[in-house]
Amino acid sequence: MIFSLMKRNIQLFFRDRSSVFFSLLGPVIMFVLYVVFLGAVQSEGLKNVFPGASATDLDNFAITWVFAGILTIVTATTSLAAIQVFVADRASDRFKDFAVSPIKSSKIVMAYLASTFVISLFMTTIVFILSELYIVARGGQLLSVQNAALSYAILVLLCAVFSALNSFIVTFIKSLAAFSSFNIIVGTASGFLAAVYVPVGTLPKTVDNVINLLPFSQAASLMRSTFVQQDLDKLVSGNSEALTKIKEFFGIVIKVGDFTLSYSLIVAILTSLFVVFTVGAILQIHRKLK
Amino acid sequence: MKSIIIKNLVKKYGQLTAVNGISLEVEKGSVFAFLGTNGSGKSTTIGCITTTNKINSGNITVNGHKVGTDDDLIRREIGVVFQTSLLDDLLTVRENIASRAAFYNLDIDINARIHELSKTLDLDVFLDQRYGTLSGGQKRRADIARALVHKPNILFLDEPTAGLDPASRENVWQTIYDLQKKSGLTVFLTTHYMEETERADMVYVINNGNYVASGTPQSLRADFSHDKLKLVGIRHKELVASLQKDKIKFSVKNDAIIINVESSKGAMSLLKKYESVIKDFEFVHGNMDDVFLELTKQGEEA
Repeated sequence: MIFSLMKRNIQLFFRDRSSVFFSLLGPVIMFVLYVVFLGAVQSEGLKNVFPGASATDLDNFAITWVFAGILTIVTATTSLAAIQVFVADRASDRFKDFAVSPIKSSKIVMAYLASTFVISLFMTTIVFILSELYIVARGGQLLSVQNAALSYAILVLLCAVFSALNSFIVTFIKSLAAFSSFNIIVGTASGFLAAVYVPVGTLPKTVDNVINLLPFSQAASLMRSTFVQQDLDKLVSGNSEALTKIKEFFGIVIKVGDFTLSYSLIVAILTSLFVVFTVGAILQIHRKLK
Repeated sequence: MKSIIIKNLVKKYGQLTAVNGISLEVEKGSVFAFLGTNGSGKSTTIGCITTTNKINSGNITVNGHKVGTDDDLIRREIGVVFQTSLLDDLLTVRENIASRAAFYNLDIDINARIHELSKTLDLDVFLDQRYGTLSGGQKRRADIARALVHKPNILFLDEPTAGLDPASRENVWQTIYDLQKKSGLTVFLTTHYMEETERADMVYVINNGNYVASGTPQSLRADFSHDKLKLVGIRHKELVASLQKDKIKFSVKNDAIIINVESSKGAMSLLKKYESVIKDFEFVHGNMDDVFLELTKQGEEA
């Protein structure tokens, strides 16, 4: 019962070409910006910090760093686009059709959440593979098996967290028009909030602190930890002072004030957010179905 | 045997009383037409019977199951076609029906059931076409197929022909009546096209949430509508004068004189009598439109 409802939700998402396109628009814009000029600016800045480093190493680090950010954003934007099915069902009164059927509303709720997660993970997986292909094609190095597995595990966690968060948020949106406005805001704002457009190190300290309190920046830092590790090691080659500095500047390690958010703490925070917003979304959607 | 029994149903939305103490019984296997103007409480009543609206007071039983306590059982035995299309535009008719079939946990072969429905409702041509691309009439037939997927024995239709062109309307009605005849389905429908109630077994009229009248279409027509004779005189004044002299009741609309008559016979004798002063005439049979207008007018005055 849940599966055929999930199948329906997933089909509706993929058949709506525009929603698939817009779910990737934010990340695509980010990518284009980097290829066109932000990447060069980044490498230039890095060259000043590591005058001895090779241009290739600098470039490789810059591009993997960008992709770590893009992948983080993709988990948020695709999960938001996927839950559009719920908003559309609500706006068009389709819940009435569910209400005259003997299906339990808990199953409908689970189908919404599960299909959102599945869509988001599917899209993210594709972007993950494309990213790796692009990096390798440019002469960068492939992720090691361990780092690839870790990175993917992180992406699974992020898809789950943002699916739950977005599912909860959209229960407050009544119309498709409001939903698409919100979609655009998330698409653009998440790039800033995850400090993907510009590294946190370039931001004022207060802004930095506020951003790091939010899950986007935390998610990005977690993602970067495994995704850029190989290129970062190559770049700093044992210079531990430089490593600490660069990690903070690029948001690989993030701080709120003087307090460093360890990766295990971030995982704990994200997991709790997942639990809280899943429960919140279940209760909210349940209420809307009545 | 009654399919639906409603006793003193009251439904309020805040201060507004949408349905005010109506009672009715629907015979198994019959076509029951629920008639009222927009906002009269028809859809609200359907919502109450089909377990989606909470009832303030009174009680409803469907196939002997009580609304409010046996909702799950009732939902398995009823099918509902809503006023607006609620299937998914981006899915094909087949996919739509299959996805809704899953709501019922049926232990039948869904594909075979869809095939069967497609034959009965004549969906073959557009079964694998996306719902969003269908015409209004095709959509309605697909909606009916969805409502029947689990073989319910009562079918609710909330203004099933609203917004359709006359040909599609006729087609949809034919489909509904064929189904009812073949499978003994009980059909509960609402409409505001009066002529569509002519074929129903029972008509129930409400206005502003209150009961107004009920009966077979024939009895309602007999009680509340009249055949009319429209006359145009060679000289208007002369005709008016002779009618007044003979104490015949009439009304004047534009240049025509309208007289209520009992039957075509009555009309003929009038025509003969005033033959010399009549230029033209028209005889109009009483219909459900008159019944409806008459009844809702009464309701407003009360």
